[in-house]
Amino acid sequence: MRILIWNRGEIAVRIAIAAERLGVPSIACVTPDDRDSRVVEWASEIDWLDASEPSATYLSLDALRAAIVRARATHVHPGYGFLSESPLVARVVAECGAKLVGPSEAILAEMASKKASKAFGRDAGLPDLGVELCIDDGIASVPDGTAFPLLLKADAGGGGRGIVRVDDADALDEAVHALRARARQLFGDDALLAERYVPNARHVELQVFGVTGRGVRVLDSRDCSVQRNHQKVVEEGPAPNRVLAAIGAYRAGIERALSRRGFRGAGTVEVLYDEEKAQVFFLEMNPRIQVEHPVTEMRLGIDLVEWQLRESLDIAADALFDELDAPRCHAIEVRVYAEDPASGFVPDAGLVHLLEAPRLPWARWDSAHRAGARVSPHYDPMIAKLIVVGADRTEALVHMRMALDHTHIHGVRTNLALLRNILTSQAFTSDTHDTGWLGENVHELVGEDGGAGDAASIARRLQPTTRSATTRADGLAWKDASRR
Amino acid sequence: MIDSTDDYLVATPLDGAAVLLVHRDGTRVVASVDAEGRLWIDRRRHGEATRRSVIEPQTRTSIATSLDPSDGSLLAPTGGVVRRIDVEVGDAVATGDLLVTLEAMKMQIEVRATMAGVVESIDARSGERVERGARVLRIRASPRGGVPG
Repeated sequence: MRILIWNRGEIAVRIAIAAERLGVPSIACVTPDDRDSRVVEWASEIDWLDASEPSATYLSLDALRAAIVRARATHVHPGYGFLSESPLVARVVAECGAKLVGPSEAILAEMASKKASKAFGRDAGLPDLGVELCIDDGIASVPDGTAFPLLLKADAGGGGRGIVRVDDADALDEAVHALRARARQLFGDDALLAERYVPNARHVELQVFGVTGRGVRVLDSRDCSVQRNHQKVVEEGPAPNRVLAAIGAYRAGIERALSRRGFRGAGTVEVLYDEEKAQVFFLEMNPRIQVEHPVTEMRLGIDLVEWQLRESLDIAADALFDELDAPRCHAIEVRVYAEDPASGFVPDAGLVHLLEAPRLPWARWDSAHRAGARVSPHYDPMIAKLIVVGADRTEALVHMRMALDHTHIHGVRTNLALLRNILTSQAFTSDTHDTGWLGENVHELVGEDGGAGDAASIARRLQPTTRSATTRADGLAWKDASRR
Repeated sequence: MIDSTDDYLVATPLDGAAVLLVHRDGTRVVASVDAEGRLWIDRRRHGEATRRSVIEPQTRTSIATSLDPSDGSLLAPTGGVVRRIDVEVGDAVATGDLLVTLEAMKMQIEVRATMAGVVESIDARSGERVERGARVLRIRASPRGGVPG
């Protein structure tokens, strides 16, 4: 057996490590921009790709086909993002005589459309927020008595630019036309759907796992309510008790609906918890491993990526559920991004010349980056995921603050100060934040610039090791000063 | 190693051209310089949040330093390297004129005259490292107090 890793970054590293533990060779496909990635150290073999652009590599079905043949792969792990949720990948992998580490093409196709996946939600007994949107002769309407605001979503779109809020009925028609035009342009598909907007909500998800012959189990919950532009920033587990109480009733229905579909491997069912109604609503089902899976791993003491491989390669897969212990501890994950929160979260690419990860017994650092490597402008700017555990949420918060304070990344701007401020904010520590909280308070939370202070004294102490760099800077400064 | 020119007591080299400094007041600083000459500083005192800053190499701070009126001495407002001396002995200077540019690595510190007069002596050379409070030059006040002829 040979596992092709069709992804990059920290998830590629995780797959390579899991494969080595299982004694199965892994082949990593590494782009020129990623030549310093830690996956180069971990994978059994490297297939050096000759382009860095995702469109020519991890997003290209032709490139995937060629890579499977070169690697003589028996299995393909698609990671997350890129093509991991595409039903076409399942088809290409099968055409090449290999097996996708993930569910069937039929399930991928069902979950790829927001509308189609709602059928799964209903099948599981979960209510959703859908509002009937009628577009007749170019005139958009919703049933009489529909409460506003609404969220309009592009059916084929992800988050962010594919979502628009409509505050009243008068604004509906114009918003529908604008979003259809944008959806055509961005996703090549102008199908829209409308949902009730929930102002005070928590974003919660259930980690599920399916094993052939053993059915599907809900393993654990995570709360991912700290978001900006529909992008998760902080994740933790378990979800608050009030949310767990509301979800509990649907657990069996979710397991049944997925088992009936023959769901295999790792997946996530995402729900929105309406604080006012104390009710959960189905959002979507992600048939793949997720970025925040370590939260569940730390709580359950398992390796979900290894589980995926064991399920797919059938390495004692029958025993997986028997290895589960009762969940223990509270776990929190933060995503460390190379970005400038003060300037609208614009990604910052460049050379990371200093990277000190926290070395603490309760902290885990999942990253493909090392000091001396570049953050490429071609990819998501996530540098690392930092995960901590504590006996309870209070202890986990203390542990995360300490871990963040002992993390040093120099060379690119990061969201480390923002993360620290989130962790110590009143709303987050009291667990009363909602999905809109970070976006509404981002200006107070972006984190202060410490200022120059006694930078001159500090700089002088650096001189012996950085002479070449400072000489160059001197030249620039000199030229600058002489112009006046 | 104790450096008498500032309040940092210990400097420990880290990986990647970085240094860990310990200040007299307990502040720990992790600092480094990148290839573009930017200075990266993480500053933290026990139990407090890390304050992070990035100082651009072009940062130029203008300091109007008072000349000692008794003898017209200009004392270095901060330790650093004298990058440029814009006057010569005998030059007449007006208030606000640029006298000296000091460099504390990432910052260009412009020292300007706070009174009019004539440069009487220059006590530092371009490229010389001066400590804070060292005399850089001396100006004899102009009798008319305005721009000397």
